[in-house]
Amino acid sequence: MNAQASLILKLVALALVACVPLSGESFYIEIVGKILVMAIFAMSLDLLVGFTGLVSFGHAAYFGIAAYAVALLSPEYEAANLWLVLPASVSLSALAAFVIGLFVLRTKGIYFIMVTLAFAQMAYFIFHDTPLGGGSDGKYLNNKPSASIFGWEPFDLSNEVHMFYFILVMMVLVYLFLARILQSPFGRALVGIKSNEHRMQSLGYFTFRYKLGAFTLAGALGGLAGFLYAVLFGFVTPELLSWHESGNVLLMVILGGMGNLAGAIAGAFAFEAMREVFADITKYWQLLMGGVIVAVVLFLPGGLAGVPGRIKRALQGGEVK
Amino acid sequence: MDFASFLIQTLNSLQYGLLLFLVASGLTLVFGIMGIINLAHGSFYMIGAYLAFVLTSATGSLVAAIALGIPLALAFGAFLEWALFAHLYKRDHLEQVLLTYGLILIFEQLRSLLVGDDVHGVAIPDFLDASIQLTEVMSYPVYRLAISVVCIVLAVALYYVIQRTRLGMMIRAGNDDEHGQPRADHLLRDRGHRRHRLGVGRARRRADRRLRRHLRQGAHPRTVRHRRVCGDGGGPAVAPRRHPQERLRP
Repeated sequence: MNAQASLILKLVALALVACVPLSGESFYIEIVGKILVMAIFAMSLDLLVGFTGLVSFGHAAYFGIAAYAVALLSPEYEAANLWLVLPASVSLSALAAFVIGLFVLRTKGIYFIMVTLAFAQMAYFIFHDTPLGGGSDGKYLNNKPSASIFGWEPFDLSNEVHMFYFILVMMVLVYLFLARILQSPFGRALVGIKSNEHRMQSLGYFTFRYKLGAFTLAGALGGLAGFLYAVLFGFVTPELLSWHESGNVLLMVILGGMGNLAGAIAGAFAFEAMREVFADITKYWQLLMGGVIVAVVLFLPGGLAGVPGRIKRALQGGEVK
Repeated sequence: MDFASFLIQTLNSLQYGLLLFLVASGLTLVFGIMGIINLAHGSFYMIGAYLAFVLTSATGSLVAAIALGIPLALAFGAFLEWALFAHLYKRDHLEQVLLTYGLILIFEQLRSLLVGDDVHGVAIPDFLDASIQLTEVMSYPVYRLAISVVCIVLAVALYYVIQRTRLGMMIRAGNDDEHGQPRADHLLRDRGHRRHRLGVGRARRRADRRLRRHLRQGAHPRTVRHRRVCGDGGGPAVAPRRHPQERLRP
């Protein structure tokens, strides 16, 4: 697919999503808002899995740490300032990712998967078993952060439509940011590390530093998603850090097609939408979802991101790879 | 804790560990040799348990259920390999993860549809339905001991098949070496016998013999080819591989 058609397709999809609040149904606004948050989360993981070749199975830790950070940093009975609490939560996630990355990046392959899972489980049990975050009951965020700058309030996060557009803008910014990063020398080095780390080392790259940078950045963006999730729903539970969550986001990335940011967004949409729609149709929604997933793997190698290219080849009568 | 309950706990954990070993030994074949990441391996464990329940209820005897269940489980595994996994050997590991995750959902839901969500028990056959009295109040069921014995017998049999038979040698040779190539491939491709990898006839027997010799000597097949290219015809194909430590000794 050429760049122009791809851009038009993305803009149309964006416009469609931006129309959701016009429906006026708060149920749909919240669901789509949640999907957008998961899309940010999936893109942050795709930076590791799809572009750097690091399969992290503990990415929910950074999501949950930022979610807990906003709940714990906000005062009990009044709203926190968004412009303080957002950078603080994201930095905490980034710090956690940096420290954990120092350890886990010394391993490779299946051991990397295991060690990232182990660290995420540690983070899970810190929130689950200590009084820090209210134990397994979780913690409520009574007031959403206020966006006021010296008394001037550009938008109000307790308004669901404002919240929706805030998330949407954040998602677009993350997309543009990651797309730009991947064009930069740093991003090219990451892609190089994925295809051949030894060669990158012999070319003189300190691959460990690049991987640590990518890991920290992915942790920070995962933290941004966690922050938005906590603000959207107003409560946090240890389940946000559980391995199920790490697994789900990994599945979104694989379903969408690894190494493609738009694919990660599509994967998040498809995964969450399937859950909602199938659960609505039948009690046995897992059967339908499992069937669709198996069919996607068998008949769509490369995930959803490969679909437009297939359609184009089919239209032009060319050979489908 | 007194000694009797300590003993009981030890026996329980030993028996559970042996069961887990059986599950893990299957996974190590699938992941280590076939290179497939199977998240749905636990589902197979579940399917086996439900097969035992359904067949015991149908036939009224656990022994008959085992006799019927093993061929059924084998056929089911072969069917899945043919229908799904055969298409995945060359794909990215993560696509295997996605597919087997889909399988977990399907198995879980089919189980719920076919057998329901109740908890079931399997009737223990009469000849195992006894317990050994340990103290006046505590006893240990014979059935659990029998399970441990079965696990140990299977473990020994598995070791024998993998380490001591031709079939096991073929399986081990399929394992990847440090270059990510199946060890057997070097030897078989070397003489153009690749077509016969799973075929029959002289070519395979010859390849087998060489494979066995090299595996016994602990030689790396690549060394063999290197020697041949260099025209080193005589003598044993390779010297046994030395332990790296050996070279450091003065």
